[in-house]
Amino acid sequence: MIVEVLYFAEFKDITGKEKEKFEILDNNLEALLNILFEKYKLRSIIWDEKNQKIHSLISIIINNQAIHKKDPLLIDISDGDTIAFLLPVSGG
Amino acid sequence: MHYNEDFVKSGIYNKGEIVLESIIKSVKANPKIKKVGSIHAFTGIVRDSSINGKPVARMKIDAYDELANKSIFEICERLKQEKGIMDVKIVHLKGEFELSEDLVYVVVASAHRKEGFDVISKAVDMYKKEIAVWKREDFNDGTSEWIH
Repeated sequence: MIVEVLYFAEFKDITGKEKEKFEILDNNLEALLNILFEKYKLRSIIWDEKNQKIHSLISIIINNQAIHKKDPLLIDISDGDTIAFLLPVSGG
Repeated sequence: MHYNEDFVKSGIYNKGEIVLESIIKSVKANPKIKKVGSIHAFTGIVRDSSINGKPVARMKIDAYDELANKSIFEICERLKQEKGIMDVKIVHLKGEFELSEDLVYVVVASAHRKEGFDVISKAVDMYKKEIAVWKREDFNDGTSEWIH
């Protein structure tokens, strides 16, 4: 399946892109994270090594809706989904 | 976001797309304007130092437009329910900004001044915490940092 990742703030600086499409084989978020972590230096920002889940400060957004689970194996994704990982906001 | 000079919608706009005067003009076109006794305006601009005192050369603002527009709409609708508040507009700009350039506008129209001052302060606190906008400070020494 094909999913699209949107990049904001640090993520945009690190990847050099606003968005990117990925082909993934499994229908959960872990499959996407594995590809992202291999391609970019995003693991230290997104992944909580101690607790082996997505860091509590990261908001996961799928199709403009917040997802409250942090275990990527429990987060289902579908073909055509748009996904973003957000750090805490800081309005001007 | 599209800019209509007769009706300014709250939300995220590109730098240079909108000015404060047009937001005030739009508020004054509100059918409830005859019940308004004060219009309050807040402008957030780029300061030359970070919160820790580090010299800032310029700033970048990034936004997740769909989420930020939804949150801004909800904040404005919530605040319009407060007593004596006739209109609330929040416009946040995005792009690259030099020192002293405008970043954000909040305009509140109220029946009496006290409730307008209270609500404009609440609106600023709310947009800083709730909308999907991020700022990067580019420092004089060539380094930069996204603020969270």
